[in-house]
Amino acid sequence: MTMNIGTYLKPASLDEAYAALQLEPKAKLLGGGAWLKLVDADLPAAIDLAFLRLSGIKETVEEVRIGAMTTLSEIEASPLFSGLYNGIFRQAIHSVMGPSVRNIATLGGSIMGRFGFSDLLPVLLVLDARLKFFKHPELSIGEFMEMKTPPRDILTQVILPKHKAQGYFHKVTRTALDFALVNVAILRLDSGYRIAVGSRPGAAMLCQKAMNHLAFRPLPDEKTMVEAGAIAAEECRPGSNQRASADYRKQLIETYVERGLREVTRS
Amino acid sequence: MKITMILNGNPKTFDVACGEMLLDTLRNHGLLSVRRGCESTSCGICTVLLDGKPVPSCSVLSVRADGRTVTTVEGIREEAEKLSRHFGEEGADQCGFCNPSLALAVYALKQTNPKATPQEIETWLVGNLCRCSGYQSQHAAIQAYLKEKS
Amino acid sequence: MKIVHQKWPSLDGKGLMLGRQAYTDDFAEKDSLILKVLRSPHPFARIRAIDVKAAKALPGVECVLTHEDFPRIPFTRAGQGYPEPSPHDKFVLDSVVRYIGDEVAVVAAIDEATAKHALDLIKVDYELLEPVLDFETAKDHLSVLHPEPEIHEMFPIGFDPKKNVAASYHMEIGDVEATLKACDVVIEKTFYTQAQSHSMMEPHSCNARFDVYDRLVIYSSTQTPVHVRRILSQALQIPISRIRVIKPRVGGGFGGKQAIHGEMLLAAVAMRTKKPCKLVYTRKEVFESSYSRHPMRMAMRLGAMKDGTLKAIDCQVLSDTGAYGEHALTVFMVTGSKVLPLYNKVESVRFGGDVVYTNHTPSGAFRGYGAIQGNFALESAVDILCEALQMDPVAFRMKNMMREGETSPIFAIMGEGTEGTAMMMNSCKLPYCVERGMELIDWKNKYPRVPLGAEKVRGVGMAIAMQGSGIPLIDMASATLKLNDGGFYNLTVGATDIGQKSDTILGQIAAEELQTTPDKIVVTSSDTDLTPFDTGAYASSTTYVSGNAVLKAAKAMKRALFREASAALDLPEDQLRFDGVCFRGPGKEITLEALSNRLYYNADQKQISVTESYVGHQSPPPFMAGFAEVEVDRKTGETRVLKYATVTDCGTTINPVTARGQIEGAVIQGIGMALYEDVLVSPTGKLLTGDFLSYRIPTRLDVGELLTEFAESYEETGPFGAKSVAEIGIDTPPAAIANAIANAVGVRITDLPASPEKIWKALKER
Repeated sequence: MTMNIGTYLKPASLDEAYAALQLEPKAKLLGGGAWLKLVDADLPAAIDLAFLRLSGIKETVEEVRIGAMTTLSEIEASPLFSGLYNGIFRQAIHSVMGPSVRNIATLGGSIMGRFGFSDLLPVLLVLDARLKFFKHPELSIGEFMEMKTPPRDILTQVILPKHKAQGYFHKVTRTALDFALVNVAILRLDSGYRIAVGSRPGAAMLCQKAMNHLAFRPLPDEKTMVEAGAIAAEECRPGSNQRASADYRKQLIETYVERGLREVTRS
Repeated sequence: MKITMILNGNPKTFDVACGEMLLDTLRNHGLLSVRRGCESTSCGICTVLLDGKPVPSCSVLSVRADGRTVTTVEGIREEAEKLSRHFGEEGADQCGFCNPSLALAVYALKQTNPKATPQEIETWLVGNLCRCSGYQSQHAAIQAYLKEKS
Repeated sequence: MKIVHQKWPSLDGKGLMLGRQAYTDDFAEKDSLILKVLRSPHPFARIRAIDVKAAKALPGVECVLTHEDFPRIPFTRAGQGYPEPSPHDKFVLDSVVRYIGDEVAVVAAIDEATAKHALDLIKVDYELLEPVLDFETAKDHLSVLHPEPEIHEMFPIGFDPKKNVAASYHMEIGDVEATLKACDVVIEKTFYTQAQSHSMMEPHSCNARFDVYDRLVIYSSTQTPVHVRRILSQALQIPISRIRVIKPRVGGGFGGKQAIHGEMLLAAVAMRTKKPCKLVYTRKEVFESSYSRHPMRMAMRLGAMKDGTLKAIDCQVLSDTGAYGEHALTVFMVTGSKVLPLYNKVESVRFGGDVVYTNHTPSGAFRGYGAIQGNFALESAVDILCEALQMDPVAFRMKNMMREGETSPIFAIMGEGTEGTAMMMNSCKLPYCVERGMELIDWKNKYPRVPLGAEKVRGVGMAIAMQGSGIPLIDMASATLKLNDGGFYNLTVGATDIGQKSDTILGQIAAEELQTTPDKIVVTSSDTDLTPFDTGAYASSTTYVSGNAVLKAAKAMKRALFREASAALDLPEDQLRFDGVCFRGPGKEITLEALSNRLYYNADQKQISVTESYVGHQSPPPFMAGFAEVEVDRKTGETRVLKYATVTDCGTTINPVTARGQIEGAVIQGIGMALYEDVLVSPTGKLLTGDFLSYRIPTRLDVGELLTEFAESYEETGPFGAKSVAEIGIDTPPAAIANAIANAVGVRITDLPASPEKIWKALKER
């Protein structure tokens, strides 16, 4: 089925792409295309980012910088992510659909839509990823998620700090290809815990209250972990949809935050 | 727009609309093995190999295939035949609608990870749905195919 | 047996793997007009006016049809034998639309974009009507879906459309109320099963052209080409001899293609434009506008004595047939007729209920065909009864279930829309199936549960099932065998291969009888011009009914060959021996190849060709015992199937590996119904699960280990001892899994699917 694309632009540079984006308010950027058909049947104008060499993974002493057009498969295959944060970034990516969709889906495309069902956003939140745009000042993923309207700009890079940390990621689904009923990401740093919940069904958020509850307790006891789970479930304000009711989501969040904390404090 | 790809080993030029998907370009060209199964990139029936990697051709703009290698089952005939022999052995062949796309994904697995464990086979193919076979017989056939020396 | 009961590669497996031209859309003419259907956005509405002027004027649009273009001739789309047991309640296009997705108009244009654009240009003025969206309040609802005067039943099926009743039925053997009063223990429970979507990988597809003889030739992805031809002829008033329907390879059906889908509008457009055209459903149309399984409510009552003797069964059913009544009566009757006989020794049994219309996607045939719904209710109820009796569920079944040599009075009473056919169980290996199944799942060590730490627990559960082998006295199949020069055969059958490999197994049956190998038998199927009659692929008829027809034809061919060899060798027939390749007599011999060449070129020339037919006088049920091992998370209710073991008695397996494939594919569909699949509709009647992202079918990672075996069994009325095997595999998982969950965590799920949330809720409320 041919998509109705009004005008198709294959810019030769980021400048050209950015200018076109500003000029035509209805224009959309083409990332990997994996979620394209879910969102748009017709595009009045499309700006293709595929030829701008925005992919690639670079490692420095303190960070990993991933080009926004890097496919999820490329990230999954990188040896960098098998160990980093217990491999939770790789695990979250691996849980997205199947290998062939991951061969075209890009990191940028998976972020910009701020989809509720995203498995990556909770992990990026606990990692405190940073987003580099062409013109717009750098944003933390948290800032980006809270913006009313995302910047009309081109995401060029995603920057992940190389935390030495224990990580946990769990996606609750019915079948392996299903969207998450909820997903939970936890990172245990020397400085404290970071907890994020996604697919609530709303988009992912940090569970600040739960994180605060755990602050100053490098090794929380069972009671504290259970409390943290309950607090996270409450503060997420989960909703109901055809996949799950709000009450059930609360139970899932409570249970998996608790289980996650147990796992990251095990070693 | 004119695009040129290496299709099943031969250069081929197509004149495509900018919103045209690779699935339709290939199928309209006469490659009947390339099929549509859904509209939500979720069934795997349209899988082709792009530079050797399985992709959902229903969601790849043909313009993105310019300058790249595209493989359909017509381009891996001998390997597909081998796989079909194993399918016959295990009773894994039923309606066949998912078979060509599956053959391509399995062929890609053989190039990437020929010693794949059963779990790795299932994980690699999770996006290739099948409603007829119950999957188990397919996996037995695929394991036997992977073990076969090239 | 050299060929039958042996593994044999399928005839088309290689060609299908290689992606050769095979399926319906592969045969569409180049430059076919593309059909697009305008579908109702309302669940129930009258079309006050419909304006297609702008659509017709769009360049590239060749035809636009609305209800105004058709005479009012009601028909049923159900692919069933004539006269159909389904009400004739459908018009080609109507001025009333009865579900979101119902057909309003059809456009044919030179390409898809133009056709879609034309749809947008059609202006419809709807008068909204109060929809009937709850099947439990559909009967006697103020809103009547089918007030049209022209509709009718073909024979009494309890059709009462003024009350929104498409069909009803009632039967009682003995006096259930009296028996229950005398029972030591009585249990009552009501069960609900959901609508399920077939989700076959090939969306519905059909295409048409006029050939050089000016006949309408249609390729269709259908299970019932013969019924398609007849119904098109009746509804569109085309002489039946001017229509040809060809079924090529089909990418799955499971009942979802046992009815007219796009062929009606396709044929109508073809007749008007006289141009090649095609209609391929989108996946959304498959979900929303084809069919799904009849949702049902089943109120069960079972009564037993302290010693475990089951004395009475009462099963009252409410079934939701959606907007139109395809398969309404027959699915509902199978809920009783292919389930209740499992406990044949009861003193009394009662079955009855209504099938009601609602403004939902029409329900239709789907593997199991009522038996899976009924099995869930009965086999769950039996476990509930066992708990009340404090009796082991396996021991209870062994005591009460059907045995070889026995019968049930239900067989004689309940047919498919008509009276049934009495039959003895010539072959029933249920006891072996149960015992072997227990071994496979390790029942003794796992029943009822094995805890895994504080949070998870594993449980096992089981169910028994039966199905049928065709519809006795109604399903007719035939086969033609033709000898060619060169000494090979053509086998032409009407039997419809929809992926279950019927071409292959029918070829095996012929090869076995003719003492040759399958490569010497070229099978052609399902072309209404070229192949002899067969009702089609449904009711598990192919192996048994079509297989028997093939066997008869092969026997007739052998008789003809002996006659000709005798003449050629000038020896009496009884002095001849045949090994499939050569006829040998005292001092003389002739190979089949030489004989055939002689017959066609040299002497005493004639075409050797035989046609035989078969109608079953019985429908010998295949039987199965299904065992599930599940793991339940006590905190969240998340449940997965670790192992599913089945032992099936389907008589001789013509091809053991394809039979195993049928069983395993069906089991996974049953597990899908038990745990994952759910057709969800909004409170305003809109389908919420119209794609594979929201309607989740089991994937490779969701299937635990399948242990699949067959009992040694032989059904003497079946070809080489075979019974059918197509549907039986789907029936046990819902009850077996519900029983396993109950054994694991003590909660009883009575409405499907057994979602984690339902299990969690039940655990909380306990």
